[in-house]
Amino acid sequence: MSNYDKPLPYITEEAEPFWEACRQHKLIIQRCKDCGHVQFYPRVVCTKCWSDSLEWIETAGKGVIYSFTVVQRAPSPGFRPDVPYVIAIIDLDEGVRLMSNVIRCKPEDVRIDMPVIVEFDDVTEEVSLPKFRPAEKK
Amino acid sequence: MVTNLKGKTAIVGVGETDIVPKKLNNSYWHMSVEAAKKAVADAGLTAKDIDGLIFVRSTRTQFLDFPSVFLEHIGLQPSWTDSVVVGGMPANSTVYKAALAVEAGLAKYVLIVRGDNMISRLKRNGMVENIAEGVIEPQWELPFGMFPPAWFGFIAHRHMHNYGTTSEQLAAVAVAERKHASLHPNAQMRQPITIQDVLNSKMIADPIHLLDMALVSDGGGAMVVTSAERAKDCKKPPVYLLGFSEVCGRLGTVAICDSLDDIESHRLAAERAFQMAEVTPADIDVAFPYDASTIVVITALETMGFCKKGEGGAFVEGGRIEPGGQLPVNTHGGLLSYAHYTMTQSSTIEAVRQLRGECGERQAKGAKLAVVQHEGGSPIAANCVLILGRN
Repeated sequence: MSNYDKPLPYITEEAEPFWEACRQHKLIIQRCKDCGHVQFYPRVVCTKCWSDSLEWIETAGKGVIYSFTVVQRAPSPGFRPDVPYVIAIIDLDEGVRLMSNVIRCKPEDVRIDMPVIVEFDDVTEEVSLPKFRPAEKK
Repeated sequence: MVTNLKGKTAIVGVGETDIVPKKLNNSYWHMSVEAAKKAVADAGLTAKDIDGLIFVRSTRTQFLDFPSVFLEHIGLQPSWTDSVVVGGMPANSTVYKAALAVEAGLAKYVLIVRGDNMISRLKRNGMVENIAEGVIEPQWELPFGMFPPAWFGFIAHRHMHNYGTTSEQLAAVAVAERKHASLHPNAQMRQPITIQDVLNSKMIADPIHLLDMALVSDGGGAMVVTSAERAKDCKKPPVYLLGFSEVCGRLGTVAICDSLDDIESHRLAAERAFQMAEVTPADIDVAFPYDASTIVVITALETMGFCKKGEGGAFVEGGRIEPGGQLPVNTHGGLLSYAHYTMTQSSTIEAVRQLRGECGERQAKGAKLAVVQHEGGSPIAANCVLILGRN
């Protein structure tokens, strides 16, 4: 996949475990051992209580769409073959929000509150991006 | 509390270049220098009087544009200089920072300058790509094909879902601003448009159409700020800084927002600026909400308290924000129809011109009090609100 021509994530030190887990097709988030707060994206301290004592937990990879847009005009040449594509903000069941693409469905079928589930796109040997497809209603 | 700064400083000079989108060989420095000369002349001052400078750097140049380089281009040696990069809100942010410098005695007359030649240098495609790579969060957002119109798509979908806001209501903002622009000789887009024109324009990031989005332009804008005392001796009627507030929120990464269409930092900035000026939205004659996209005009009017949360869509309909309406909004045409060269510089400048009564055909009758609201800070986390008045 060396011909991947879209921007790859600029990986920061505190997020390295997250991207390593993505390579193993696991979606992990941080939880504070002191106050139980969960957070995404990965940060240096618990943003609720400033504790350094953070652990990683694996999510079920399930959530619902908080909001979305269907991109009809590619921001850069790498995305031109994908247009139209869906970018969504997703509320994971564990209580955090993240951005991703919604795939494996028609863009016009995407709705706010639609249940989705993660799958991983191995875009290079080093990077797997978490993306989401429609899930069965609970 | 900053209340004791109410009315202590004023904007005494404004200047802008011609907005020249069709002539595609404008120099970056020309835009800043010409605007600066005009603003200083507008104040009835000369280069020798300027002893403070805030230079707003472009976020998108590949070359050095530090304030020191600008000083070389205009041959000034001020006693105080600052540089500001805050996404969409440099104009407001620089005005109150200039006011603070004046009040602290760091400078007597502060020149604020911002110019850019985005369309000449980058062309439209280059600009879209450049702005995506320049301001979109690079780890959690850019890899998913994120770019600025998508922010507004998210906000609009959420607002539609929560409150039943329609694409026609978004379009009403674009139509109103174009009507204002049609009365401004320097506006980039002056041809009137209809709701249907907006809905028929190319979809960029559903539900945001091309005509729901800001232009790309070349241009420069400058202002001069001084004390209320010295302002009396300047050439034009002073426009006083009555209230200001800038609040930055936790929104560097859009995806982790608490709420997309009711942002706490925006609400706080508006509340504090109105409190400082000791006025309410009902007192405002003309408003300049941030308008990089139509949807954020609707959310800004709600956030500032011109209507209740969720009622912004209905508020912008029926000519209320058009020329001659109850609350004329962005009377120069805004980023949507006037120009998008210095982000928001032109809306603060237009507010000054409205309060001086210099706006001819597009003059809001008897305008005494204006609010200017800018969003920025990559992407839209921060909010800077100014209340400007003639008295």
